[in-house]
Amino acid sequence: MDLLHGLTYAFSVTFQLNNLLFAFVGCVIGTLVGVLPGIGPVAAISLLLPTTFRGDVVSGLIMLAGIFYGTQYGGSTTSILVNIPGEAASVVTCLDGYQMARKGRAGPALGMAAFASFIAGTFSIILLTLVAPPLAKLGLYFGSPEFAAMAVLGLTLLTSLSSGSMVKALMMATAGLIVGAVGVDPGMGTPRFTFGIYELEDGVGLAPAAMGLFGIAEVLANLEESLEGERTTLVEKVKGLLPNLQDWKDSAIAIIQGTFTGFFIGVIPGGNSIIASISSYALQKRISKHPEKMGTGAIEGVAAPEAANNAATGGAFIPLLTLGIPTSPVMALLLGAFMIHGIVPGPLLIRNNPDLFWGLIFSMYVGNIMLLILNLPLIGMWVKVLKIPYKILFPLILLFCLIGAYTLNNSPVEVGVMVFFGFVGFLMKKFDYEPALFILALVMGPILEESLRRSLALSGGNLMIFLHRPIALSILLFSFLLLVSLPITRMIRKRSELTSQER
Amino acid sequence: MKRHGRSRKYLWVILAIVLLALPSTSGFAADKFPSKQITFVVPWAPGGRTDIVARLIAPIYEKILGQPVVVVNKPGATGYVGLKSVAMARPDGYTLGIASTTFILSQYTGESKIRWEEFKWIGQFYSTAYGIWVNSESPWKTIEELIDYARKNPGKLKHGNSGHGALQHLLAEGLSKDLGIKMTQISYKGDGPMTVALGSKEVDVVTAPLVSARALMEAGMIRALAMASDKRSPNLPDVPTLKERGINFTGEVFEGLGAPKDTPDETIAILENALEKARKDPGLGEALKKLDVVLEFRNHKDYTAYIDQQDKRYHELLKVVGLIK
Repeated sequence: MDLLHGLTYAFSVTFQLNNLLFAFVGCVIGTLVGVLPGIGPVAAISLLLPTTFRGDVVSGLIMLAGIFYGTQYGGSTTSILVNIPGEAASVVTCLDGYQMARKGRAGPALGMAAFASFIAGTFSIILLTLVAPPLAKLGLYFGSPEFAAMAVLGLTLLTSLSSGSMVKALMMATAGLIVGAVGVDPGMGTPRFTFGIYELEDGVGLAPAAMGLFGIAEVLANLEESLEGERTTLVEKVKGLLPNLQDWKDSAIAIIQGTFTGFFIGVIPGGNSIIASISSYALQKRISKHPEKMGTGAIEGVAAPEAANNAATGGAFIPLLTLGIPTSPVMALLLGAFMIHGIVPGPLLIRNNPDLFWGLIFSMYVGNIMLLILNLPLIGMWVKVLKIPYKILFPLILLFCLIGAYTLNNSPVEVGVMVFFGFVGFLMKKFDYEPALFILALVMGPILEESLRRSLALSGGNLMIFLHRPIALSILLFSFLLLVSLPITRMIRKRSELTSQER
Repeated sequence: MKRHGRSRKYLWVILAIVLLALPSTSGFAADKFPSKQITFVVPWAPGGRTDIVARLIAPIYEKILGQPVVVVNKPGATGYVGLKSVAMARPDGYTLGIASTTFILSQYTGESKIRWEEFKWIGQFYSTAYGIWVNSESPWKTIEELIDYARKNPGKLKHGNSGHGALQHLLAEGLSKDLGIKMTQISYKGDGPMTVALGSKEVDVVTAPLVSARALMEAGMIRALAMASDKRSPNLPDVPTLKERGINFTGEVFEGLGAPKDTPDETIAILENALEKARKDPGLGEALKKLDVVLEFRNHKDYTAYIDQQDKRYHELLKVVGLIK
């Protein structure tokens, strides 16, 4: 079925009233889920999965996809307002988003997040429509050595995220790697660092750690400040509700870059919106005209990761729909939904179930529009939240975090982890250590270890396997270049400063 | 001062209300069982096979028993966390757990100290057989060709498993021992990445149930050489069983419902009857068939005997292949 045919068919499927309704419901639920810390798309989709059993499969899947998209939009709201990532991919948005909120620019931050998400999301769906089948095959070229190389690249990029002391940044990254080793040894199955606590056999949870390091720590730090000062609300004055012309000028490149970076990473098996947002942020810092501003409240620091994580969402559907390969837990859930209805996603999906394929894709366009319309008016409301007296706001924040951490896996251990990291995070703040790097290393470390060990198992212990695989090799070389380019550019800059001073 | 007094009064009122409300949550379920909500604990993250089957069976169970049945996910430690919570729950029949073959293995390979005897097993949901799959572009068209190659090239064949010490790993090792061949084991986290690795030729062979392999099979990327079951799979009528080829080896995964050990027998009987009725539901049969699971039901007595038998078999197998001492 050619493209035009497909699109007209999609049109007819999507614009049926009930499908539109399901898309809308999915978007609303998704936004709510994204805003509430702890309850992520996995929990929400799994709860609603049974409701899709009885109805029409297309409508059900449209709703689930809407939830997935919605969470990307909602997650950034709490990142910006209260420095709590609504879900893992929004961690990077906290960096600049929250700083903007503290300066009274929460409105433009939220607005830019919404617009960047919309532009990137829509564009990634267009790309998806055009290049789905050929790109799908790309996924098969990615084996364990490539994953290991990607993890190396991710870790290398991490260092670009820091705005403070490099030594402290590296310490945080190393700490993240160490804590990432908690769990079960991937090759031997023996527990490590679990201290007999069985729930830790799956590792330290990313969500509770992030909620603790970012959210709880922030609350503790603010409380300490209010003990000394007179501040009763989080923000004194709110300047403007939407991004202005200057904001758009600053963010234009960030959005474009974020879209492509995010989409590409989403397509690769193993790539997900977390890696996409990190990479986009780091890349933006490299190409930005004012890199020193990022981390203190630069709008491009919000636009880039937001664009990336929504674009990655679009890209992530490609391996699922065209090969039946889920690249993340959410995709695995959607795969389950397909299978319950007896539909096998894969190269034959477009042929066997064109209404499903095209209907789903088109509903994503519509979903993105709905989400933008949903989120923009809410900005005014969200900004008012910041004006609530802090003595009422902070218990609510803590409450949501506690509930959120528990509902992740119905486990009190995760609540304990969150509280632990809350205290650790508070100390880190006092001494100027950046939690973002810790979290990101926590994610990347296990990926690197697993892929590296498997690559070595495949090659019989021979590191040369990396030299024999062109994709892995190029990624590794690129990482190496990135790594050395930082001190070199610094040296060059210093030299030119010296020579210009001499004149 | 007066303001303090007023708010303190309110505090006591609220405290009193909360304290009064607490006992009523424990349920005055002295009447006929079941008289309140039943919980299925799935010891895995949502979206997996166990979870999907549980969510398919729950509404039918609900219809039969007339009480809400809720599925709760408690993942962790290869199923230990969820199952431990069931073993320690009140033995009143309202908390039930779903356990599979993996649980039997984890008794020996993990650090979990929970034994199958700590549960009363209500009944088996299903069992599904494992097949031996290779990439479609590989030179082996029959299982004999594969075994032949393995015999001539010890250690060269790469077998992908879904976790070190997990069922696929164990079955492949057991089969290897029986056949006198040696394969190199490569571990992945779960059926998904393992099957993809076969599709991308990173590994040469995997042992997987049809449900995990279906997508790539229909895409023509992988094919099954043999099934490790007693009979041919209705979904794969052209694939022989190992038994047909003279290899006496079967490997299947089963899943069923269990309750804490001290649950009264009458309660178990009610739950068992409901399960037997649920299994006859045609909608359920259809849905499970699409998932390629065979709806094989075993009642309380048979299931418990079966688990005992599987327990002994796998314990032996784990020792034989050297995964435990």
